Amino acid sequence: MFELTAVLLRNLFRGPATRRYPHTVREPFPRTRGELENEIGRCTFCGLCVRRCPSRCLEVDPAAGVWRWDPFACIYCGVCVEACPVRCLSQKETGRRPATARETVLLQGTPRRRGGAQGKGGAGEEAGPEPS
Amino acid sequence: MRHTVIPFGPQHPVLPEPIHLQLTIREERVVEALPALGFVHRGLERLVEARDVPQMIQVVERVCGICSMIHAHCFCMGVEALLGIEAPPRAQVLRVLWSELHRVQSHLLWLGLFADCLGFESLFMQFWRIRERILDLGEATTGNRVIVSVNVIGGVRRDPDAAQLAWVAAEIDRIEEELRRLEPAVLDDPTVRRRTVGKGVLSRDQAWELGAVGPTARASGIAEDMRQTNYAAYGRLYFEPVVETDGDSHARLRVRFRETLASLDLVRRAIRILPAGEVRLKLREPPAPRGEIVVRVEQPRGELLYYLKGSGEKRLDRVRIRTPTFANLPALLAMLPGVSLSDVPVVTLSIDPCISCTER
Amino acid sequence: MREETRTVPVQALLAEVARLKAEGWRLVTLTASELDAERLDLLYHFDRELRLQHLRVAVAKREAAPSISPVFFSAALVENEIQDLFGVRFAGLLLDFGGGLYREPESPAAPFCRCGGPPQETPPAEGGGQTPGGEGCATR
Ligand code: SF4
Ligand code: SF4
Repeated sequence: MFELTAVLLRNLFRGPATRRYPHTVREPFPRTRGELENEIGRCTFCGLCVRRCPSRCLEVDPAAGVWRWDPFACIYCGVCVEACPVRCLSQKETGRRPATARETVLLQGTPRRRGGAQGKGGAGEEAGPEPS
Repeated sequence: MRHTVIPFGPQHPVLPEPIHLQLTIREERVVEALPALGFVHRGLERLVEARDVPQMIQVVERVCGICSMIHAHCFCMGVEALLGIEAPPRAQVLRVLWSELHRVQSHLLWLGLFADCLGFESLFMQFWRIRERILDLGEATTGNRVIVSVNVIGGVRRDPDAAQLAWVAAEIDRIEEELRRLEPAVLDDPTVRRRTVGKGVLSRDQAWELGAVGPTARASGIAEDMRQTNYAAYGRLYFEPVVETDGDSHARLRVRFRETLASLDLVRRAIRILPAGEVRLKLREPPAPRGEIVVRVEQPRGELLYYLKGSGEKRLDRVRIRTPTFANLPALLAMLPGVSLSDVPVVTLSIDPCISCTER
Repeated sequence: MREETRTVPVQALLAEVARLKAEGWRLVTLTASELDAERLDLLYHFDRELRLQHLRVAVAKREAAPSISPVFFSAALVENEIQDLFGVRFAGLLLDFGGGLYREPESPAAPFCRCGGPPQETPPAEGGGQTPGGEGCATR
């Protein structure tokens, strides 16, 4: 009969179980899949991330050197990060803050020159040169 | 005697999800219940025509938010069987570990909702508070909180290290202790008993005839649990199903509570037998399964069936998903007649309905 | 398929299902998949002591398939689902929603038949919803 009373009494002295978000924010766990980041200088615009993305929220334009990401359609699965052959994509450990308007993230890099991958870091051999 | 027809749902305080029941009532007792569905049908099965096999993993995870891990697990097992490959042993055990964590958090969610539907607010808070810690374990080991996205064809994407596993094991022990402290408050409380004992009785024969699965069937004495088929690593964990014979709402409550403890134990034993080694096969080419297969696994709500058909293309021809609530709805319709109107929410919730997976 | 799968003619289906029930096989579910514009492949999955067995029946979309819901009432829900999604009819269905289990009157007919084109991923703009016209499908 009184088991729960004991639990409740204990809770009374333990303080709240919740946090006053957003004033106190818990540290993220290591390797939590959060916001996407693209080091656009190294991106070869190979389009592999676009083809692997299950939610179709990425677009690249190799001719213009544009990488576009719709964070509101993204499901933060990290598939694109695994797919990127030059490892210029990564995920932060924190998620995006709530927003009041929809937005897309558009990163402008150097358009790929003809005849192969460009960029630092010896990306040459792996980056499949087929544009999407 | 006049009949009254009362609509129950699709928006009702006890229902986490939309289902509509048209209740014919005579003198406060249900005479007949007819369901109406279709509020959350998404047509996910047909997305196979637009997604390749690895992308379908993320789609099937979204059939059900609560047990995403188990959907992906089932799908990957099916594709792997069609391809003639098998995930490495460590991945098999890790899949069991995460599946059982998902079962625990799903049952805790239900236990909380059930307490809430009885008006037992503080118990609801206790269960959900514990559930948060299970979600933390999942988030720290998989990278995502609810829809964990950790399965791939041929293994898993994350490999928790020894320190993490030790933390999971220690946390599981603490959670079990707290749950055991709550046990008398859930199972023996006179108010809980008065609202659930003898309510919504489903006999063993009815349960079989109507194709009930999972805790709903096991509370009526059918000792069938897909984990007995020893898929993944269950064969090495000496799994025993939890069975009750009363067939009423209280029996279903007892089954789920004891299963929660059993799942915690499975997590602990999975950590103990976790072999070293690879967690993910390297596939040389994109998976292009050929053939037909039926795979079954045990979800928190019962037997989950996937039918996959491929013709050697990178997209499957057909994916068919039969979720446990779909199988339990006929049983619910059989439980309701004779129940008093005020008990309808309790009986409905006692099958743990998950409508968005029912309709997909 | 890893388990025993038998193809039975439509006429023999009800008797076969009744026989399996008498032998203690539980109906797990039905699966429908489209063979072509005219035919549908129906699979009946049965379970006994954790073992599976399947019956396969090819039905024409234009003709009503026999409902097994008089034998296994639990089939009624899934037969209704197949009616909704593939536009076939089941004759003798107990609890018949008449193709309205999931669908609304304005929903596309037979949305899981491929002849309507690839699945639409984004919902049509407000007010301007045009359902794709299906050519050549027996049930549209
Ligand atoms: S996969 Fe990597 S390199 Fe290729 S387009 Fe995407 S971000 Fe750029
Ligand atoms: S995280 Fe997943 S959904 Fe988001 S962009 Fe990458 S692949 Fe697409």
